[in-house]
Amino acid sequence: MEFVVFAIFAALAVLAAAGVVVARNPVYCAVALLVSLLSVAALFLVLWAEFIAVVQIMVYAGGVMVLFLFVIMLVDLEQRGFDLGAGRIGPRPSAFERGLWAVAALAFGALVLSLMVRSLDLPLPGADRAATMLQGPYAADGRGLGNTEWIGMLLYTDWLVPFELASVLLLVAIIGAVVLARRDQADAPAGKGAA
Amino acid sequence: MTFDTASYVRDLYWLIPELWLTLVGFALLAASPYIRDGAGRRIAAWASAAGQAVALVLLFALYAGVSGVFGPATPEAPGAIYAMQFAHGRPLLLIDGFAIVLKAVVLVAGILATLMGIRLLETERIGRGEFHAVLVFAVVGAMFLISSTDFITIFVGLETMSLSVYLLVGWAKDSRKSNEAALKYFLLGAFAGGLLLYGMSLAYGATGTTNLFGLQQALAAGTPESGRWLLTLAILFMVVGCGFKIAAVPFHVWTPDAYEGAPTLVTSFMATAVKTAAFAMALRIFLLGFDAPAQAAQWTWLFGILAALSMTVGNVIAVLQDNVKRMLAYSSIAHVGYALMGLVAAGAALAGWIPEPQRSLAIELGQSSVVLYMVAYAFTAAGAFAVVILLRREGIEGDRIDDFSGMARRAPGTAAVMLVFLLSLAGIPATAGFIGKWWLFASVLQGGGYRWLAVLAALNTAVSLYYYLRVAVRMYMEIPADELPYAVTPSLTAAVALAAIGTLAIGLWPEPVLRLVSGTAQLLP
Amino acid sequence: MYPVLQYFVVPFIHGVVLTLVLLLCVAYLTFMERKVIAFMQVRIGPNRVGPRGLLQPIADVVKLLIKEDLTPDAANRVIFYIAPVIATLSTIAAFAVIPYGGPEATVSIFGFPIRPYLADVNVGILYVISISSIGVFGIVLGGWASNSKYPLLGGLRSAAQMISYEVPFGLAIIGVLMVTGTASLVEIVQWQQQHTWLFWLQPFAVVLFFIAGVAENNRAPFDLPEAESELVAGFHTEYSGFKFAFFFLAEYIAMIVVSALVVTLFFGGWLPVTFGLGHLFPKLPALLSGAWGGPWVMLLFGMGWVFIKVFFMLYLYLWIRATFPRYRYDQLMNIGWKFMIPASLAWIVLTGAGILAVQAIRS
Repeated sequence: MEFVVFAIFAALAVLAAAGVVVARNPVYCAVALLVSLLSVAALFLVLWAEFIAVVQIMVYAGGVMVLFLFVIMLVDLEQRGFDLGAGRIGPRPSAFERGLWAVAALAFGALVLSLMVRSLDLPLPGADRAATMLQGPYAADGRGLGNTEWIGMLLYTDWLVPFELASVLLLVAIIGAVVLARRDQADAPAGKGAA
Repeated sequence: MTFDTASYVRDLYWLIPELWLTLVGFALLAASPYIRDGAGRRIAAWASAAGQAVALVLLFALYAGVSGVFGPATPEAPGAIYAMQFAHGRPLLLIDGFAIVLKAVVLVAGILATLMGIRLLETERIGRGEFHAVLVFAVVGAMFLISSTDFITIFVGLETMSLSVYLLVGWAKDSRKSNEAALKYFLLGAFAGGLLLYGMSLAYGATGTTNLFGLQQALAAGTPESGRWLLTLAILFMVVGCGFKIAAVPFHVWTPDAYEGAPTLVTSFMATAVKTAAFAMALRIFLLGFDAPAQAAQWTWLFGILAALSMTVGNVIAVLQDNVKRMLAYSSIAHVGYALMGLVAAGAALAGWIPEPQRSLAIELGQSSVVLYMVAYAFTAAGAFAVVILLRREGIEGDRIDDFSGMARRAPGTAAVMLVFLLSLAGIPATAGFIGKWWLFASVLQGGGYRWLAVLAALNTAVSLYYYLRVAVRMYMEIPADELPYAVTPSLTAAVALAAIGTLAIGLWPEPVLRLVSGTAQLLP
Repeated sequence: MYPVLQYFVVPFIHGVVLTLVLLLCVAYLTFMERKVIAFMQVRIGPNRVGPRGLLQPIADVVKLLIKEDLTPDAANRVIFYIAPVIATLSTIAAFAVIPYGGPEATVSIFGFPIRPYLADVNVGILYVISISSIGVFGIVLGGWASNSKYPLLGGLRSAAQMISYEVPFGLAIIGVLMVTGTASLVEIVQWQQQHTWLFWLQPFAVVLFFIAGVAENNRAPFDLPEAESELVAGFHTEYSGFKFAFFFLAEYIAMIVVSALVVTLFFGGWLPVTFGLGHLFPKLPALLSGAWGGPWVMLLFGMGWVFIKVFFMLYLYLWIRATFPRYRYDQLMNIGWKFMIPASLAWIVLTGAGILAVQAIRS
């Protein structure tokens, strides 16, 4: 049962991800990415990680993807003659060069895939541990803490320092967005002190 | 789940330098809207430098008495002074000799960059107050990164630092070069971060822990067949990710453009602080997390190749450069190649390719030589970039090698100092660069099949002498290119002087630094 | 018994019934809107179709169904079709976790227990917010796929407005979560059953939440995306017939969802209104909640209370629409970012201080 749900959404996620790469219309790419992200959220649900699933939808689908769409729609790609397939800097690579890249990509993909496949047949220690952790919130504690409470507890105790540091990270991101986006007159004339 | 408030207060006590610096950043940020004129900006810059200096003092005041840094390490917890923030019983951050020395390097690099850039920011008209806040946050991120022993803290620290630096690189909004640099650096940096994260997730899948100590234990306990393959992939991705962050060939392509386009003080910060923190990350991940022989065997040869490629490609291409910043960028790539020798030596020992008694010596020497090299390189490179800033004047970009022409005639002192920096970069005795390189050579010469790296490095040093001395020739044997006075300011002079003192002091009287650095070798518990 | 029946078929039927009820509600919500606004403007409103105009919504639906369904030539057909579906489905899906009765009102039909809510997940309220954030895509994509300037601008405007107001919308709830310690909507109402309506503890949060909710719905006075005087009809200018009906549905269902959320979070959901007399007459709450008559009666009473409370919230929507002029776009953004977000953050701090104070007094 669980496997069926997993298979459906995993396939959807992978197909949609492929769609992101293959589709030529940027809006289709964005929609495909949206589908992929939602499928991943569904996979989280299969793992009983409700909170992460919801946050995945809220942050990626509700926030990030909307902004993606904004940019795609406001920057009219077609009008600028920007074909995603042809939009490139510099001369078009020769057939030989492209073949070389294709071979390199295929070889690397095959390597990754084969290593992944080789690790499929045997149980992973991480999987066991993850399984016990999944039951942890409900079983081990005995108080029946839910997923959300558990994550909250962990974030504000064990992982407090990285959590707070992440807020500095976000602050820097905000400053960056404002600084780079703002059109300012303050710097146009040299300051009085500048020689 | 119990919440132990007392232990958290104790943790925060050990984080005082970082907390203080974050406060400094907040203060600078809060003050920046009220800073309108050049004088205010200069005050902000000095305040930022002072804040970082206070953090440096706090760092040493906190640890000097307690630690084994200035003496033998305490027997109970060799090397690790304090392990904090336990998650699942394993530390997230480690305050040890390694962390303290490298944090000090980052702080010094931050101070030097701040001081050298005061005038430059005015000339480039990018001296908004937030600049210094972002720089301080970059330092904070780097300091956390250096202490991290868990993938989570590593990643958050890394991103805090990287994001700040992306921003600083693109700070000159009106300069196309700066835009290009920021875009390239950001895209490739984000990509590298993704690869690193992928590697981390694979390692987590194979072992079920994000902690480096946990990883070490899991690997020591032996992993099933399937986990080994996943770990191989994880190592591959992490080597690539780290390769991007430290700018090793073939993951270096962003470096020259980013270094050239960024405001020079940011370039200096990138070459010193960011590189130091990235090396700390690589050392922690590979020497602590992946120290099992089977894994060490895998990453050692990867890093061996990176080292050989970096030093060769970096030096050869540096010869062809006309732009000083580009030349220094390629030179920094070459230096990454040298520094990687230490990691390779330690890795070869961990993999069991070096028999005892050289084995433990190689591990220890490998780690401490990288630290030493970072210390030496930070002073030297910062000094060289500071001199480049001197040439940037109203209307003159000042980043071509030709701009150095006749410097000896116009400013003999500066030219002499620049010569010291160049010699140190080349690794001539009596300078910091020599001491650093000496230890690296010593570590790799312990055996383990990587002696050829030392030979290659020696050959490369000969090549590098050519382009370093080319600058010296311009300075001493040609007539001045222009008449505009150099952009000398007290702060810039102070920065150059500090860097020169550091470079010469380490070169002429290396003992204290060597003692300090050998205290850092206890990375492996 | 039959797991497939119990876990798939029955919830499916439950969902379908819920959706149909919702659709009926929407139909009469439009009727109510026209009547209420007519009343406030001293008009009579629809009064021709059926007795007192009561069949007007049915006529409207029939009109929409048989109207020609146009698709502009230059439109992107696939997305033009998908967009209204996304908009409607996401709002209907949000209704899944809203309770219209307590777990004690679980009734049994053909041996299958039917609870008075489709799902009780422990991330309930976050689920509503996340699902409703997907609704933005319907609007943005619809505006873009029309390939026409007014819809595009309207779509972008409304998307910007919705993601801006999503922040205070979510932040306003945090006070509730802090007080109750749960994100499950059922448990939040149960908490209110044991203590008191959260309205009395979180009065400011109610205001913030409702304002943000109105803006989320693109309703007056924040209905800039479809400001007739500027943008023709906003993102759905090019839509007609059935596809237009879908957008229309999405907007009205979203209104009901927000009203139901306010009711559930702050006004005790299915709990009866006792006007504070519950302490004087201890039997009153049980009497008014139908606890005397078994699950079916309780279900009926619970639905009744939810209906009455939601009705009042919807009336508030219409009242606001009839009385407030439309904001300008920059004013809207200023309110969102410079007032709503700081205010909701301040309210979180205040709530935290209050909780600490209560704990200190108790210990």
